[in-house]
Amino acid sequence: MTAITSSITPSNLSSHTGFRDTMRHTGALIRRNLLSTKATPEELLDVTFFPIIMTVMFTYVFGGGLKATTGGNYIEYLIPGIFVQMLSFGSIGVGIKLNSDFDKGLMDRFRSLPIARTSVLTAHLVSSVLRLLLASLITFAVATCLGFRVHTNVGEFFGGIALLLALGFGVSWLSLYVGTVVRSPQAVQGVLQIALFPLMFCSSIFTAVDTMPGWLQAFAKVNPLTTAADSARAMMVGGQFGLGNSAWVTLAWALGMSVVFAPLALRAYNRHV
Amino acid sequence: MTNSNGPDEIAIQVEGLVKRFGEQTAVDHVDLAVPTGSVFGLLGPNGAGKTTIVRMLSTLLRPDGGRALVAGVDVMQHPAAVRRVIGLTGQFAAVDETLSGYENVYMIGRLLDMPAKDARRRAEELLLAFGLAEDARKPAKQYSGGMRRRLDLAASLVGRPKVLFLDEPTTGLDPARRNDLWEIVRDLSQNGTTVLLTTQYMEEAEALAQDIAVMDRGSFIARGTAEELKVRIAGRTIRLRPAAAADLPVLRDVLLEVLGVADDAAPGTLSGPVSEDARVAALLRAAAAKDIAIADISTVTASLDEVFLTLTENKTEKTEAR
Repeated sequence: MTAITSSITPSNLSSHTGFRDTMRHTGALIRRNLLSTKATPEELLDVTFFPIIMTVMFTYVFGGGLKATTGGNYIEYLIPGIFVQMLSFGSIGVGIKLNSDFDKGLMDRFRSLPIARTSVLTAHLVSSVLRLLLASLITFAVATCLGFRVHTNVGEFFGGIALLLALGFGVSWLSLYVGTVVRSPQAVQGVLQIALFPLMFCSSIFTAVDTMPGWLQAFAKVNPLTTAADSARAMMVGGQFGLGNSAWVTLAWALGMSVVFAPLALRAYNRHV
Repeated sequence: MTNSNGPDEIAIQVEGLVKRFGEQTAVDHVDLAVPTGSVFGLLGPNGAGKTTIVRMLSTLLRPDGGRALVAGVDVMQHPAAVRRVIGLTGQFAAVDETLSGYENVYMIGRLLDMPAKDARRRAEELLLAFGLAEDARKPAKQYSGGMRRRLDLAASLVGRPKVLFLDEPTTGLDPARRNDLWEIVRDLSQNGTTVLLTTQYMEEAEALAQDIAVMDRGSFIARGTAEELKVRIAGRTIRLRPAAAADLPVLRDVLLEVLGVADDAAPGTLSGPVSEDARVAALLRAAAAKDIAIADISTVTASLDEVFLTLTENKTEKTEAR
């Protein structure tokens, strides 16, 4: 080993990448993600157009029928739920993006560079949260146009958004995990949609849980999308929608998902060939 | 192997490298030494293990055995240090298609810790050098196949790597684009960059590489310069045409006697393998002794394609018995 040293040996053999370096690398990669999104705005359809369609459809098609069981003003009931739906489904995109990096060989380039491997993952995660933030703004604007009004104070409202972003953060880790272990970007979408659709409909997003059969209620009540929708309702509309312990349960779900899926994602990512 | 200092520095040193995927041994005890500034060609069919070697040397894959030094640094012990001195261009252009050519190269500069200003200048310089300056601001998805390859190569050169890995860099390119890329590789090599190139095309290995290893099923089955491989492995063939067709049977006997083989190369022409120059002289003396007038004589060195076919069809035993 020592016999074959040469004068072109890099002086620094350290594998350690400093914190500031990692921040800068992550920044360069976030910039890349944002430029990419700017160049392909159709990628934002799932977090912009999809929630709008759901809002309009549920308000005008099902709203009349659902009004009685959801407190009289369906749009006030629905919009906080739409935020939840948008933030959970919007997290699918990050897994798809990560998977396409593997798919297109870009990951080989990143991994052959002297950067911390995790900076690619971190950059995707931050970009995902920024995407969700943008989507929240759009959803809020559309909701306001449709007659939705916030009845709580600014602090509560932003607290609600922060809580939902925390859940989006947790789902993003799940998405990154799936994005690392399945074979194609299409498969990422498929797997996550299959997981999220039942969660979305068997929750309090669109209708009150107590109108469901007992066995389904049991599921719907512990469903993180229910607790997230309930807390969002309490923190954006308030009044008849009480907070209870839903915010804590949602936060626990967000933390739990991050704690479980972040190490899984990191491990799978580091092992990915 | 004991000392690589001095003018004959070894840029890539590989000893007993092994990689297994489950039951299958993708790379089976491979040894390799590539002098600094030279181009080494790894030639072989799909699945021979070429890409696996490149992936191990570029720290993307962990070897299961043996060791490998790139620019004097152990790839297993100090992968991060290796990453600082290598460039990699894979089989597929690894660029972000939604980004412009400029943004792709600039990003790599930033990831290599260049200040924004330097990264900008380096990106512009490389895009200009590779004929992409005009389309620098267009998204890469609008680029042609050749432009993408050049962009990919530009991205791998941002950090002025000492060792460059090119994994089938011209697969899918038309001949003109391929020649452009060859020129770039020659330039790099002249400027001291060590290049390890994998290819399925003998022509490419011959055009670029000083040293070639032919690979099949995880092992090197032959190595040397293109010229050596052609002469040594597939050998040279001599073709003889007697002046009188009536002499043909006698000449056939002479060939069989001296070379052991007499093939019909063309109507009225016989051929046989001549691995050494002495055989040519012996053959001509024998023909003269039988009073055969020779109208035409030529020797043909096998093309590298033939070498390749000979080798990968597992005919190595035959040629080694030579």
